[in-house]
Amino acid sequence: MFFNSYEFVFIFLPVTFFIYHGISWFLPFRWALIWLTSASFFFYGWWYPGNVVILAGSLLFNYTVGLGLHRAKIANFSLTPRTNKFLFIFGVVGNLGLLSYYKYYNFFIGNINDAMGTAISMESLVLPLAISFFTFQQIGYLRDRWQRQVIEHTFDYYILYVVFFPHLIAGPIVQHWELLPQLVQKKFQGFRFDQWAVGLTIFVLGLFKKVVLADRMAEYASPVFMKAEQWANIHFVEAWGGALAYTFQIYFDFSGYSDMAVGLGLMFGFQLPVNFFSPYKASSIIEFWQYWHITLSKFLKNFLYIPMGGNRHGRYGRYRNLMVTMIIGGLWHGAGWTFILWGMLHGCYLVVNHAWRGVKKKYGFLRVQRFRLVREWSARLLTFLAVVIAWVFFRAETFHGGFTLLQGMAGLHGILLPLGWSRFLPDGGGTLLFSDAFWAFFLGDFGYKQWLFILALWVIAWFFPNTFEFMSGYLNLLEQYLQERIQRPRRFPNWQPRPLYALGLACLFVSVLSFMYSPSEFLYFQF
Amino acid sequence: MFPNSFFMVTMSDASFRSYIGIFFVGLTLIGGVGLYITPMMSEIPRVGRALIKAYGKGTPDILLFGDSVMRATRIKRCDTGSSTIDTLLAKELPNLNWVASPYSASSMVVFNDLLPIAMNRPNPPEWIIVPVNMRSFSEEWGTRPAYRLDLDRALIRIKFGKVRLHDYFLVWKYQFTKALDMEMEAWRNQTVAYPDFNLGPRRKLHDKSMDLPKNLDCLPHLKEQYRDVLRTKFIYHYLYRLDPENPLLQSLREIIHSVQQSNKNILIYVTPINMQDGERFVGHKFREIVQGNVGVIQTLVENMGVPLLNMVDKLPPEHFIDQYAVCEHLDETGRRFVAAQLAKVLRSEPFKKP
Repeated sequence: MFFNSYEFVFIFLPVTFFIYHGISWFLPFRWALIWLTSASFFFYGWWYPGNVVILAGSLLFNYTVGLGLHRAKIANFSLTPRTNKFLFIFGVVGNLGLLSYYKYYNFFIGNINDAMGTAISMESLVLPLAISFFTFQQIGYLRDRWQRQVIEHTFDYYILYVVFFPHLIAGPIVQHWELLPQLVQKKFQGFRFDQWAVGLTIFVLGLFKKVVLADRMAEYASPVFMKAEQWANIHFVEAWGGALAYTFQIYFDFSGYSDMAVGLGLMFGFQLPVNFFSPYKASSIIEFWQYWHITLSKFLKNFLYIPMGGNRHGRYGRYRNLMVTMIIGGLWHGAGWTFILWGMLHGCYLVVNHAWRGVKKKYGFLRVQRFRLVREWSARLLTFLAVVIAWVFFRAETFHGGFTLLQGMAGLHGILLPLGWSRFLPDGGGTLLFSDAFWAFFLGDFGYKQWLFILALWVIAWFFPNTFEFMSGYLNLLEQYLQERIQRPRRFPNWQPRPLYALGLACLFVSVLSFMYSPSEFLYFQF
Repeated sequence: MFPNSFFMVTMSDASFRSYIGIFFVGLTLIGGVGLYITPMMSEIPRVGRALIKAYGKGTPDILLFGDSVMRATRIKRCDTGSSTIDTLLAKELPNLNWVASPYSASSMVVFNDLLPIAMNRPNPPEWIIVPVNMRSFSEEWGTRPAYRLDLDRALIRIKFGKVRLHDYFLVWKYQFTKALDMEMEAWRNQTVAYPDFNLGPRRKLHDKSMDLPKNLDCLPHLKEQYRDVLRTKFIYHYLYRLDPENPLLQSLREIIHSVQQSNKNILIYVTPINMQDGERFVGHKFREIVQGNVGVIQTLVENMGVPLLNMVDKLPPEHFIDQYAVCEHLDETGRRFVAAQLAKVLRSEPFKKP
């Protein structure tokens, strides 16, 4: 079930919501949580009920290992610290083994076959939905169980922490300290209209981003990337159009999903971590990764980069750690060399960025405040372009497709104007010489309407407040992260529970419903 | 049912409560108004209103159902004028009161739905003229989701007929959603095979390689360069074998039957097609099959005692101009010809003004 489907919006969500709040009133609150857990399993099993077995097995395995780690510490059982560490490694290997089998087995075998000319048969595996997300979440949980940083809880709380439907499928990657305490310590607080209003608003804004903005961009981007895979030459304007369309598609798609998750969480009375905070406004790649897929960045930093040594082993040690972290980050997104290349590119960007910072610090130049605005905007533009180029490989199915598109972006296949622009040309293409037929021969496909839409999204991404800045009047309902980042007052208008905003939201929702007829997958579902 | 404390509404909660209330009320109103306004904004109600308005001015003698052939062509620079067939006819027969339906798609099904608007008036027209476009029986027109005109038919029912709840669903589905795109996508994946020709995957018939320069009809010397594409298009549009049980023919039967039941007169005419170019690019089979299909219509119509004005091969290629080529759209001279032929029949018995 997609968040952007009628069955979710009109059946699953209202039923789950009202029964949850009803149970909260009439029965002990724990029953409401059990209801939420059941609903979450139903939500997960909607695609393929068989997946529930894998998820349940993973939950049981991790909770049992976690319990072992916990008891070993608390009661000082016969487990020595060494065996305790072994138990932790066993847990991690178990998780990674499950992930690797489903996600990387065929990739691995395929590469062996290619490299060694063998013919090892591949498995017809269907990747269990959200496996990357719940695996990472549970690895984090085991690590903290091992280090005795997890609050007391029982199995039912643990299950809900992992399977809570707003975050289960495509994140945000919720760490136990972000949700478990809320579940364990939550008391019935009555029906909170403020949470409902703010949560509903964030949910609708996210839905709008996904259904109206991202899906339109997909219509522009997909044909261009498909063309690139088919060995077709793509001209300059078309290539940039496709790359930019995908850049905005993935942002509005994934941040829309994350907004929906936060909004849904709030409607049920829980705060979920923010995953996006205007990443395209970043003026460096370091900053970009602080604002893009924040929960994954935090996970990679805490569970990979820092344990590998972080920046504690000198400059080159840091660069190595950054590269390894980003390559694994790329591989996490999918079993493919294009994802690895994407990760390597970002690793390189980060290395260059850190090196540049070192140079600036060492030589002290560019400290002058002159041309601050110019420097700031050129840094933002440069960062944005670097990100766009990396997205080309993220989206491309093969290296060939990615490089073909890049060649087009570099103008190596010609710099031609879109066909629709002929009307702006002399005589509007009105004479026979400059007729549409004439231009059709010379011009590409990407039209000015698509460009206007792309530019509009560019303006939104760069100049508009993000959802959480817009909702910053009610930060007390949202997570700490935002309270640290948003300093008021801001120049943009804040959301208020006023009639005009309610009507505006209703208009947005109507427009969303119009586009929801064919729910499309969220891009991050596949990861 | 719930004790007051359940909602625990504080002072500040009140504004949130009204926010949620206004959201849901607004959602219902905006959605409802949208569904109400949309039918009013579409072409069909305009057609109906135009008919009713025209009736208000007096007793019309003739109702002419229109299609795109009736209109001026879209390539204005190739055309010599911009008069429509109904205005040309009105000039030819100034003593008659005309009502022309400006609906632009040729569909017997929609004509059949529109007919009661005219016939149920206190002063129904004495004559009904129905154009028959040979392309409208093609496989494409029979199966293409957009050409099924489901939305149009729902709108006609909403505005002028018996409204069903399902019609509002159809309006919402086709006006507000991407349902049509999805159906079109499925349609593109089909294969097209006529009894005499196998055209292969439909996607190929509608891809860019089948595009023709928009002015090709104005540049006949260039047509030879596009021989293959033109041949395929002529086959695709005209070389089906018309089944007497075709649903569109069933609608035509119903139209004739309704008019005859009301003791009024009806004239059916077949609009010209570019027969010469068809023969040039496809061969002699083109004329043979087209004439066979016209024969099916002729038999049906004449069996019901109605004359058929057959203009299918009455115009040379230079009068067919359309931005997509292989189409029945005519230039001013062609439209004048059609109007003159209709006027000629109408001047004769029994089509004189009562």
